[in-house]
Amino acid sequence: MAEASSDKNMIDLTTSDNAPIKVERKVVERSILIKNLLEDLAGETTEAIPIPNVNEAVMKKVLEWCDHHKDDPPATQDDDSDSRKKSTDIDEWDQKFMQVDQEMLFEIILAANYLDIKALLDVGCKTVANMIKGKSPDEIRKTFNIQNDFTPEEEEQIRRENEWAEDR
Amino acid sequence: MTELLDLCYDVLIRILEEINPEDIAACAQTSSGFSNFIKKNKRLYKAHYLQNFDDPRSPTEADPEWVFELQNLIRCQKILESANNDLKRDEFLFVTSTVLSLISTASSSTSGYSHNQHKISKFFLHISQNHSAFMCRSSLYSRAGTELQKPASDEESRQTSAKLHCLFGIPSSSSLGRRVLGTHPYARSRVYDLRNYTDATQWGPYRHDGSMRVDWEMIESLMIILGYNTGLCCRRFAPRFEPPWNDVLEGVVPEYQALTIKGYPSKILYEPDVPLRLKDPYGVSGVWSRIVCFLDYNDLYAYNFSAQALKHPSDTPREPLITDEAIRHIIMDISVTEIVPATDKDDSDALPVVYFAGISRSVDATWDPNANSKIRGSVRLTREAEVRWQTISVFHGGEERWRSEGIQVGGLKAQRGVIGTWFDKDFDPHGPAGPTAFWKISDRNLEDDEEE
Repeated sequence: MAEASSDKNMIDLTTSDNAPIKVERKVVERSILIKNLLEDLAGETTEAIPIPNVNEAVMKKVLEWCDHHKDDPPATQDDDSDSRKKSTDIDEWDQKFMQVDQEMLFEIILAANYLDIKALLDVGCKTVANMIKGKSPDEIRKTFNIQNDFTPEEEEQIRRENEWAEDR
Repeated sequence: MTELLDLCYDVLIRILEEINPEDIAACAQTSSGFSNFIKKNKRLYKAHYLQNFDDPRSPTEADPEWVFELQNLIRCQKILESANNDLKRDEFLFVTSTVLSLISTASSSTSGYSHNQHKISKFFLHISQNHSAFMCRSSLYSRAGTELQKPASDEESRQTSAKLHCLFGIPSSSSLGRRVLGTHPYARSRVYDLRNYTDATQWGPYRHDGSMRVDWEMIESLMIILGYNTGLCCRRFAPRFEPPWNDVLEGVVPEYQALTIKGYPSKILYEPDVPLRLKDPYGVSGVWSRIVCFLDYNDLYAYNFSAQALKHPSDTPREPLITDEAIRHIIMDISVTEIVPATDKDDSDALPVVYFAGISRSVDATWDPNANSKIRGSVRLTREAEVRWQTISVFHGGEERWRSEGIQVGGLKAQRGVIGTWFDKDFDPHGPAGPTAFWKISDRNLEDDEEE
């Protein structure tokens, strides 16, 4: 490890399950959290950066995404709804990347949120949104393993409250 | 294991902002946890509203009820997407009022895009069933139109349908627009029926009850024949004289930036140093394109006063009229001359009355003295908050000749312009009278250009 950190372009990370990961600086700087941290440290540390909220499996997956997108232009500050692309616009590589089990998908989203990787968070949220779109309540329950805890009366009541969205 | 609802708040909100509005309802029906989350987060409805529709907020008003408004809009959308004509008939009032409010809150981005315009185009231009069910239900359709185009059973509904139709416009390049223009003999029979020009209507497009509310059925007929006649006449003047209602909602969707100006400060009227032009809330000064149509006077007279015409029952419309009309293209160059507070019982005092004067010049018949004159007039806000224009042409030697009464469709400063009637300055019951429209083509007067 000591010899690795002498290379300024390589960064050492330690995941929540204590796994060491070595990664190119440019790749890991897709995370604004880590980028800011590295700038604050200004190369003064030789220690591995701990990532207490992300385990090795998820971190590797996140870094795989960061590696693929390492040359993307930096995200614009403009985060209003106008500039956000519509959900159908997830690029092909990202779509494939997101074909993981639901547990992993959620973990990636939470990691992207924690590590402040806007574009990855965006792709993750859109992927989940696409899993909801156009589905009936029952299909949504099945997809996300949600327990129907309504009484029949409540269910009827809530159905009436939501009649505005029914196809006519 | 992490579940959907266990995702942190920001992330879950973000996901729910990415779905379609109707998916919110499906999510709320999955479990009590999900239902409560959505109930507690009204901002979701606001986000969906603003993603799917134009921002309805004006600087002077409080935020709308986002939940109620969005649910109404989606319900309306579902009715418009449905193939069920009975449903459309049953929901006529709900749909027309929702679409009218969607039009009144429509605005475009700086690049010219309007969500509301796009949606209304999609639902009414591309689904002719909707056009028939909601925009073809004025009394015009008691005689014209197809099986599905039937007048509504009460006066207010017929007026509402006509109003919606007027704001929508007549997209003459579509088959739907051509069908509308095909009703011209019936529209013409209303416009040239001098029984419609009375003291109660002040000879303008107003209701027969003397309330000075707009008669949208009359405006609809005026638009149809002006549009039809323009289509017939040679196109050498296009596009300057192309009536500005050929595209869906053309000229009635302002740019959002322009809306951020606060209400009219009435104090401004009394500020001596502010030029008249800046005190004028209607944007009168500038150059306007105008079209005027008329029937040959003998035809008009015969249509209204022949022995046969006089026998016509007073409560039924006259027979369809297919006689060709003449059309004049005119340029009006006008400026504000005086601004006074509104005091008339028919006016709203929210805005002042603006008087103007200028010249009116015929483009195609330079020899025609009727089209070359001085012109003066006024603009005011009616109690219904419609923008009412009156003009009067003044010939050499100060002789007044023609008047006009019109309504600016789409409201204050709408690019659509003013649609109305012209008639004799002394309200001669024998006419003549006919349709006219004018719309602004430049904020600068012609003299301004010459000075440079």
